[in-house]
Amino acid sequence: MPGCFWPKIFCCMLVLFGSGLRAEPLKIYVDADYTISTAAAEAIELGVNTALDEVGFQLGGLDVVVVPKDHRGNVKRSKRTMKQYLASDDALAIVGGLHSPPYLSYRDFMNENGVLTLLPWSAAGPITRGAHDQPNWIFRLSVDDTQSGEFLVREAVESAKCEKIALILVDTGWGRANHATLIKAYEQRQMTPAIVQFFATSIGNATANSLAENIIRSGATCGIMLANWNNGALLVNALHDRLPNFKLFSHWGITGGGFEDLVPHHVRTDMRISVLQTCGFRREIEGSEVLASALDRAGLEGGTLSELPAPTGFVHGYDLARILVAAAEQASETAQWNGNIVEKRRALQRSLENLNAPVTGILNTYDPPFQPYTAENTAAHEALSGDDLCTAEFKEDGRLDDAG
Amino acid sequence: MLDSGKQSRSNNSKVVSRRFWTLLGLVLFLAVSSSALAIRFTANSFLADYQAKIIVDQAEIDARNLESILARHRLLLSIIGNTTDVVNVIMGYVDNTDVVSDKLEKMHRPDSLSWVTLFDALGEEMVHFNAQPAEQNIFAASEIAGLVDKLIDQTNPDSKQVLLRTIGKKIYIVLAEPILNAGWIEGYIVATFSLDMSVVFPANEVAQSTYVTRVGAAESVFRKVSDSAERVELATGDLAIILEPDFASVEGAGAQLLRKTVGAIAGVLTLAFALFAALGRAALVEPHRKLEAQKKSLAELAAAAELANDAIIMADIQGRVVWGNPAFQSLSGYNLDEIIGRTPGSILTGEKTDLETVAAIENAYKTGSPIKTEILNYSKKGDEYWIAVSISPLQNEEGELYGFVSISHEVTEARRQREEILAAKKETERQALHDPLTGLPNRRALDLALKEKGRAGENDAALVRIDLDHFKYVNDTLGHEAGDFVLCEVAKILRDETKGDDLPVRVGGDEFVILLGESTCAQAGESLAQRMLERIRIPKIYGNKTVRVGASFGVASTCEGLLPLEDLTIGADAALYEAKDLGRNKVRIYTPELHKSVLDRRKLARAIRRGIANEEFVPHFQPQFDAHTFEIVGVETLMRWAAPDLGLLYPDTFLPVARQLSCLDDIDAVVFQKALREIELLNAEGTLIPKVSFNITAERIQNPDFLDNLPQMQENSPKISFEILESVLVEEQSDLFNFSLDRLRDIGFTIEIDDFGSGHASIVGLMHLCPDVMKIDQRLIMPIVECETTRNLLKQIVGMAELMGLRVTAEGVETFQHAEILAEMGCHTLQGYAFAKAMPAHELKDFVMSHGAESLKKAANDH
Repeated sequence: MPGCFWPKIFCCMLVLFGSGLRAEPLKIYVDADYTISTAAAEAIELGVNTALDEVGFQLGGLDVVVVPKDHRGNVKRSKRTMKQYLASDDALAIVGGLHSPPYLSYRDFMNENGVLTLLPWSAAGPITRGAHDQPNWIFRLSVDDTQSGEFLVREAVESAKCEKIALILVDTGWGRANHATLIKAYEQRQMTPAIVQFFATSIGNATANSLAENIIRSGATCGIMLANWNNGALLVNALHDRLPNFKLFSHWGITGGGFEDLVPHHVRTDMRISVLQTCGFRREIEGSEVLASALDRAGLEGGTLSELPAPTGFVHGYDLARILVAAAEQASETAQWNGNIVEKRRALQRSLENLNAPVTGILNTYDPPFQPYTAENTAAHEALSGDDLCTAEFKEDGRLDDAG
Repeated sequence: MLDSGKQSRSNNSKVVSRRFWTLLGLVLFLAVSSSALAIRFTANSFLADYQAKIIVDQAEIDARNLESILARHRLLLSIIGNTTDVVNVIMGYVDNTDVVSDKLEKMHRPDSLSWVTLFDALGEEMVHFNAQPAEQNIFAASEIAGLVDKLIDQTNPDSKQVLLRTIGKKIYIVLAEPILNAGWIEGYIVATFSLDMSVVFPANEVAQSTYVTRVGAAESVFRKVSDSAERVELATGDLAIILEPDFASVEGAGAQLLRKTVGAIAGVLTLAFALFAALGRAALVEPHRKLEAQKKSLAELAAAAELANDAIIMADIQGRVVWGNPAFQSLSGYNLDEIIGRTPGSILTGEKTDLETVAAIENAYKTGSPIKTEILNYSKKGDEYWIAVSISPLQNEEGELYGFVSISHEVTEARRQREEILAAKKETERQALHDPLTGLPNRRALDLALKEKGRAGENDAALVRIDLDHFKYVNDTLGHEAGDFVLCEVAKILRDETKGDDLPVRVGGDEFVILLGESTCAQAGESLAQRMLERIRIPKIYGNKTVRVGASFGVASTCEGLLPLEDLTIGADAALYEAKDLGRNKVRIYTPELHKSVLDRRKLARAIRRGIANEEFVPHFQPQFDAHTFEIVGVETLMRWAAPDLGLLYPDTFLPVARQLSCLDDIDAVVFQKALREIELLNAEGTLIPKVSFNITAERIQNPDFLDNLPQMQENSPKISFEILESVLVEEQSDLFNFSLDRLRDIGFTIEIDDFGSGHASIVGLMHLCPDVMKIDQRLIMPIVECETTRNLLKQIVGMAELMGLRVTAEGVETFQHAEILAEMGCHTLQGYAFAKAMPAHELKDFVMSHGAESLKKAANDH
């Protein structure tokens, strides 16, 4: 047995030495648009902070702080944040914002360099589906657009009985990826959309009117829209001017900004806008204790989810951070956790893929949330599935509520 | 004396004018020079300020010009930089290195653009477009990087940063414009533009040189250039221009200003003096000159009047002569002393002078108005002469009448010639409206009279139409002189029997018309006609021979309401024809019955024309039979009219009218074509008709259209034969007729002589014509059963035909007894009711199908 003593001493010293060197807490970067889509960024950060607060801002026994990084929608700034992360000795993970483009553009860079990224909002399908011959460092707890297309078409065709449906899509990688899934969902029903209209990322009133004119002329009476909140608001107002009872199903891109300020309540009511959401509101209705507790901790004692400007960000950020806490706890049991930041990231990545115990969140009890990514299991890094999707409607005050 | 007077007047005028202009020029010179001196002494200080101001103004102009150029370039960059495609690239949503070149391709790219680069929010170069490779390295990469770093660090999108370099005559400026997304700067579009100094700062008289400098460097450049240089910063605050003035030029400009000012004052003064000169000339010099000119003109006029060929006299306001020229004295025979103080009327008029003309001239004198007229005057010797005179009032400058001038010339000969021409014209007109033989008005006079009645709206009119009976006989037997005698006698009767307002007319040949005077109707015309008939029938003695003629009269009037005025002649004609039809020497009135008959004929004529247009005329076919075997050997085509409203009509009901309308050929053509078609059809259906014959007139045979449109004879077609009336044998036929007949034979048609024996058959004509068949008239056929003479006659005719080698067809065969006799006589072909009537094609088909020669023979034998 004496043979075992020195290694134990060595380990203890290493721990002590390591912890003694670690004067700086670990950092979680929140790479989001704090300037334009402020509400979403802040809601995500609040969700993460609330979950970390529950564990005293400790991850696997180490202090952690959340560092906001404003990319203002610019992919290049996200890249800069990623580089800063890689150069940092204590940046453990990046939590993404509502945008998909940064992670669509740099997915391979992130996986090749080991940028551990947790996405509570970005929905583009390909982000979590990198090459199969290398580790996948990107995890998502959000809508997965490979499933949202089918969900939106199902809502429009089967629930609302729409016959002529327009597809109104932003002309980015996100919009184009969704176009494919939406068309696939149509084809499965042996249907075609009445019209497909792509539009640029920053349109004005004239373009919005022209698009609306085309859509109404096609005979469409319903629409499925993928837009950010500012373009979406222009389009909705333009459509309402021409056909007030045009029924609209929107991806959640319109939330997280000032959509409700630009689109009056009567317009939202006339058009019965259904917004793709995860089922946070439903859980609230169901009386989720986890949610109530989280809201209390977030400073909304006795409050409701819809009081938050971007509740999705909060719920997803919170659940994702809880999974992060559980994964860090599991990783801390490995020797790698005691290594440098690169080793910690690796340990955490592996724990995320192999969590032993279920994690309880607001939306779900994740058992497990993620699995090792393989060619056969391309949804392994998706914490949510199509069953976790719901629709929400705008209330008079502009906040969202479950559509029932 | 006159010449010296003119010279003196001309000199006076020139002297006045010269003095006026000299004085004016002197005063103008003094005014301009004193003004120039005054300006020279007072403008010095003002001039210095002016020079300073034009330097500042020029610098401002140059600065604004540069600003404007840069603003355009910045706008271009801003437009490109804020297109969605560029924003997408800058935001990292799209990777497109050609985005700038794509945009520039769609826009008007300025020649001054050297290169464009897009920098992202982190200052990294994303897209570069190189428009002018030679200008790529004007600015070092570090300079550009430094500029971009400054831009990235600043937060105010309105802050301008530039780089500047001047090389030779060119300025290179780097401009940068922010690329915004949702109002936030996410990158910069940076570009270099090369500007040509001579374009940005065009050469002018103020600047020696103009420089561009960055604001920070402006002071040092400013000091280097000149103490008197002018500096102006651009509104964007990043650049300034420095203008080094050209003092020599500026001072020159001051002097030029002075010159211009003096020039302007001189101009104004000159203008004022010119106005004064114009007014002065009008008020002083011009009246003087005009007076001189008037004097000269009057003297010249007086000289011209003295020499004029026209007689001129001038009279005072009372019309008394005050002056006369030699031509007047020569024309009138009076000298001046004899006429001055007297009125022209009192000495020149005589007994034949037209008093109305005299009164008109006196009235012109009284009223002071001008007059032109011709008047007969008497000379001092008492000779008559005509003058054309023009008398004009004379007025002074105030418009007051002070006398008259009379200008006249003799027109005695001209008037004589004119009157002769008028008389000749009158006679020509009379001849144009009268018959030269009888002196009666002619047809043209009648037409004019009828038109005049129509114009005058005279409702009632009557017209008698007269046609002499047997007049041709008179002409032929007694000669034309006798004929003319008769015509003159009849004309005399017409003149005698008509009243003053009746119009007796010879309308041509032996035809006369009387258009009765106003308010006369048919009864009056009839009485008149009866009287004339009586007188015309009285035998007349010409030479030692008695000449007898009669006349037929047709009377028509509008009184009965049957005829309008324009149809009166037609009505009288119709009545006349009836009178002739009734046996001549008759008077007939156009009665309602006659009117109805005329209308019926008109109606029938219209129906015939319509029938031709609609091809209502149809062929019926009467079969012809071999006299011995009773086999059908052919058919004769007979025309019928299937009029929709009248039923089926036989030719005797419409042929006379059709003949009058000259449309027989058209009907024949319709029937001919239809018959051919129908027979062809029967043939095609197996009903074979060996021969079809058609009646044809001599006129139609000669019609080139008929010959040109004949069908080609086919081998299996029935033979076609043309039946020509026997009358062609009597009249001598033209060469064209014979030629046409030969052509018909050449084509293969046969010729038959129809109705032989009905008229004056000419054996010589028959020999000459050489027909193939002789058709004997039914009037010779019908009596043969009873009348032996006819039978014998017929035998001779058939024998003659045999001699001539003609086949003989008998028509009008009404009984089999006839048939038997005719067959025995040697007739070859029989046609008549005993066998068949004429029938339409479909009946003919049935007839042929059911025809049995044997049964016919049996019927004949039974008979």
